[in-house]
Amino acid sequence: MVAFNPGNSPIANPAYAPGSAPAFDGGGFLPNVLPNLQLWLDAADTSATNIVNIAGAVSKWSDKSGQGNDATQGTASLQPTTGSNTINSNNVITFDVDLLSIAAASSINNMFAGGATVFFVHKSESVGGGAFGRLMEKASGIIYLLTDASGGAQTIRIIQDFSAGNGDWATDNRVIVDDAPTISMLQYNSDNVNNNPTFETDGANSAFTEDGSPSGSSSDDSANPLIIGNRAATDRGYDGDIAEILIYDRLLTATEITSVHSYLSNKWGVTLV
Amino acid sequence: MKHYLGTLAECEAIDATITTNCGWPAEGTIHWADPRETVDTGVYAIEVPEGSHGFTKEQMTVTITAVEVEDVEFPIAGEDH
Repeated sequence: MVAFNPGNSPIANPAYAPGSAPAFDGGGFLPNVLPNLQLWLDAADTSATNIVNIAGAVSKWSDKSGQGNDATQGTASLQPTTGSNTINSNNVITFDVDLLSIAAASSINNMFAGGATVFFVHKSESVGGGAFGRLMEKASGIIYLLTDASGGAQTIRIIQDFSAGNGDWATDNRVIVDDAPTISMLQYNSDNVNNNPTFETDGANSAFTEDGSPSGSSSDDSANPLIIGNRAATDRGYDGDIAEILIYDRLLTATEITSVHSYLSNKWGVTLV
Repeated sequence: MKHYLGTLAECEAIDATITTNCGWPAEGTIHWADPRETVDTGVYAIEVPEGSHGFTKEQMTVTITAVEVEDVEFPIAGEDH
């Protein structure tokens, strides 16, 4: 377990409350130990009920959070692949132009309203479709994407729709490196236009720049599905592997974030910085 | 990525043929692909399968006679990010 150093805490949100929950060690910790887990997609669990597939083409990646937010794809040409790649000997789901969709009106609508914490374990092969490859998108709500590629690395960006001007933040450095398994964490609360997101890459704070200042109130995305690995128009495909996704609809504390990072690091063999 | 081109009806027929060739039930929960309109109004494209779901390309495209076209251009969707 990597020690948490409060002096390096990336948590800039006023709702952050250090010490409000106990720390968990890596051994035996599972993401659903922490309250408010809304999505848990785990590619390492290759059971037939967790990843439903025909010859490796995935029609359903089941949500293990207990919230029923299964990610599905009924169109064969858009189904991602299981069983072809691994990270740390664990199975992953491979995307290029594919996408999985979580139904609108799910429990992860307007996920950053009130605050949310998102983890992706992924390995990118390139910046993706249109040089704006999506990790996830919920139209009229959020876009979480890679962009600004150079030298085999990309920045990671979050765009949150607001009624009078969208918030847009990107890491200053190209923290996502091609072919390198990465743990990307995003934490944000859209309730106040003065709030900024927190980006962490492999457990380290990633400095960012606000490219668009939010104005008004955060938009309602409840009418649209949450799409993993692309956008609805299918031209912003994430190019690479996605191993695990966790979404909590609250701001995890620093100790909780450390616990999740430790769990993901041990499982996927990603060295925390 | 290669596509077949045609009218919407022709592309929907190609989708139905591929779906049948794979043994997936008509009106079922899985089908091959949705035709997309190209930059040329009224001209649609549907992806050519290169082998998927345990089937070869030849198995998936048997009886399809449409011409395969490279580099089909689609309208830019939405904002530029």
